[in-house]
Amino acid sequence: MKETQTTAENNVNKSVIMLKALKDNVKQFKDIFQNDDTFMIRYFVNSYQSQIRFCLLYLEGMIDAEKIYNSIIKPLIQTNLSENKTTNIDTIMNQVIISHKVEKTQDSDALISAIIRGDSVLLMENCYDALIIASKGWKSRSTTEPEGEKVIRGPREGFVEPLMENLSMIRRRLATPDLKFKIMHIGVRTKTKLGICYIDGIANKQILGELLERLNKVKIDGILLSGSLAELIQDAPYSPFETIGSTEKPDVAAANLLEGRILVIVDGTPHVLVLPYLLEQFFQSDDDYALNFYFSSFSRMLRVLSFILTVTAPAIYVALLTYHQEMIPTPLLMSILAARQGIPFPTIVETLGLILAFEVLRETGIRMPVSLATALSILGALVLGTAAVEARIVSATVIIVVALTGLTGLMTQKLKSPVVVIRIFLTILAGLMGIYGVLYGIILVLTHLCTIRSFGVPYLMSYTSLRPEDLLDTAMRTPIWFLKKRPRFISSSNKIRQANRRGN
Amino acid sequence: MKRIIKILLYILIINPLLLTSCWNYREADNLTLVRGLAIDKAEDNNYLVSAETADMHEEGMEGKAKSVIIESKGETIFDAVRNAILVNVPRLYLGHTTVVVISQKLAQEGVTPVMDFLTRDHETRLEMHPVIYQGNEAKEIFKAKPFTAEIISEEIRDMLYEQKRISKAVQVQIYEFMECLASEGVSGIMPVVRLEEIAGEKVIRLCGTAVFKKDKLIGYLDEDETKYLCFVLDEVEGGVLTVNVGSKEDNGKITLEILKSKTKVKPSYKEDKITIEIKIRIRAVLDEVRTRIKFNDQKDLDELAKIAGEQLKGHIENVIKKAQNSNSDIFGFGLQVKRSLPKVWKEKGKDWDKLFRELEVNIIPDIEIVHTGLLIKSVEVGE
Repeated sequence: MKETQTTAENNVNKSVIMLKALKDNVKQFKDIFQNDDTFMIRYFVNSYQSQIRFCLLYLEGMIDAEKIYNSIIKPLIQTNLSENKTTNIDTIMNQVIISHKVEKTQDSDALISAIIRGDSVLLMENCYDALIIASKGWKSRSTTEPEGEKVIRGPREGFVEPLMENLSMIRRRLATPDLKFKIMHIGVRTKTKLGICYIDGIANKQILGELLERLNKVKIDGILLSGSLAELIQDAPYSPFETIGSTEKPDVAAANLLEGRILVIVDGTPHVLVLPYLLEQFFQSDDDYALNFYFSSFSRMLRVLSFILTVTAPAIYVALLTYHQEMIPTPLLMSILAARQGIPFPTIVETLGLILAFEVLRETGIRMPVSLATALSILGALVLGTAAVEARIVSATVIIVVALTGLTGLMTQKLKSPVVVIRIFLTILAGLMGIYGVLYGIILVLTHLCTIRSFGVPYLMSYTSLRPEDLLDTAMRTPIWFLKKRPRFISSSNKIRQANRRGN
Repeated sequence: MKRIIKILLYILIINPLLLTSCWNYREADNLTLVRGLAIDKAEDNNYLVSAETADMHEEGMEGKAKSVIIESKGETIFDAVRNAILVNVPRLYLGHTTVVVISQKLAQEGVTPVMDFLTRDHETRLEMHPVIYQGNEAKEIFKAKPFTAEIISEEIRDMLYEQKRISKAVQVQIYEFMECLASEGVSGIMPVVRLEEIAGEKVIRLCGTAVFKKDKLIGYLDEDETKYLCFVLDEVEGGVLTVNVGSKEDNGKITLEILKSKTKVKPSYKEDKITIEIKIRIRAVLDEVRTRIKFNDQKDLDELAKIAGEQLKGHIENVIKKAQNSNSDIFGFGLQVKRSLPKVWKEKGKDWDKLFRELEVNIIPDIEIVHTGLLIKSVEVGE
């Protein structure tokens, strides 16, 4: 905390006091941007009146050269300024510069940050004011389908890094003036732009207030990822469960806004934060609303089931095999025993080792260049799978259990971090205390889930609710005409989102 | 204050973790999987326990287990089970035992010690099948050649499961037998196996029912008698009913296949006398005809059903007579009286042994022949 304060002070000391002489002003900017070779200073004069000197300041790489050439330098040099006797900065601003956004200011901070953000600053001889002229221009990648949220039926558009483009993607989907964007800057050094996005009248004002309060408390030198911001402002920060969600899809973001949720868009990250975020949302996919509701309900239940399986399967295997052999059906126990003949490790070591091996494979798969994928699959499948079983280092059943665990784990990708933690936790408990330990662990996890909240909304709200209308969009996805109300607590007063089918 | 409560809560939560009794960590591969037990009494009054274990070492990955017999002696049954460690390294694990074969000799002396061990031990299951071995020593059973399963105990269990198609053996589990032992007015029964030689190979054969008085084996019922016993016990799920028809010289026989059978036992008390009424409702199908008689309409079938009912009644009466002679209430009539006429039982229950001998039993069979199979008449040979 102390350190960030001092850096903040350092920053304040570096300021520009606008003077009359062009040379002095330029020198001040030069001092601030010293040792920065991308800082460009371009002097030029009007071709009709050579005593009017101009200086354009910008950062190379941040500007669109075309814009600077066409809308600033070309008109300034070619316009006949001598006809106009009273040439001052206002006439330049109003009559010469051809740009959609020009601002006259003496404010040092505004000028410096404008240069940093890719605008250019125009200085003029014998003038205390400077002009900030929009000239931003940099390459960003085109929108692609987000890898993490693929759909069968639905839009393929995904968010990109620049904030404004993301905002426009949301705005295009919600044509209402009630859609509000609040722009903030966070990070003493990075001054990262944040967009807080909500629909006025649907979003809960208390949650919005709480969010702004938490954001204001963040004092950090830089925020580069939306994820690290989420970690700073979320509830239950020590929990493995995330209480702020994220999405890469503008249509998901818009749907969340319509439910009364609030988005935080961080410039530079295509992952938009969604809050409040509840556990049930990890099991929802925007596909669910596009496909038939029977099928959607089925696949949702499958996701919930696979979450339960991926967390408990290895633990139950270890517990049954080391404590409760009588609970395994005899033929199954016999084939497990046959597979375990000659395995040197205890079951718990074997299982934990393979879970670890699978995590290594997964981690490598993410970080590794695509061209090496075949090598990885050969290593993973052949060496770890077949060879290890044939060499009698691990038993085939453990491989099946861990493969099942891994496969079902991939189904709920976004829950990866709690899943890995709880899975290992439960497996160790199973090795220590059998089924009793597994149950104990599950109760601990459930108790924990019941206590955490996301911005005041209980994390398990829909699952634990006794009201039937809260259960309509959880483990099952009822037809859309059933979903007449917005989720409780999240939306403020405006709860009805759909007229009755008869139109009243 | 809040802090103290919090700490106390943590202690409360962590405490039960340490208070459990299940600390029994054991690797599954350090156990010898027992599938069946044969219990004999040796000459020196010790017990001889033969355990049939499923051995996975040889076949390995194929998952086919080999039957390995481990014999051990001990002063008590559990002592013998543990003494097996002297012979075989990993200890015997009884959690997957399906069949307990008790030798005839031991059963005649009383099965209480066996039952006590089987119910008291925490590994043995109450759904195991106790079986009486009709022969010298129960361990001989494991020398038989199994037909389908690799392991003889599994074969016996499968035979017991399968017999419900013919209802010629009873399927008893330990807890059922224990209930019979513990309650008054009913005697225990167990299925009986023996070895039989077919084509030079010794094979297992189910052969009726062992009848107990208290905990002692006192006699046997053969397969057919067992079937009629099953009718009284309402255990018939299928099977056939053969009916003699026509004159004796004709020796005509008709076979009915039982589709459904329901028995209701109702005791009544009138004029200081207990009578038992047994109503048996059977739905059957004509399945095999060895006679000249033709069945043209429902009337003929009803006539046949009546004959079948009479014959069934006679058979059942014979079985009841046999049980009454040996004074063992294997039908649980006493229990029925106790349940439906508790006042009478309070008064007369003490003398049930005597009462059972002279008990009057009314059997009311009600057979319905649903159809005559795929043929209407019997097969006729042309002139």
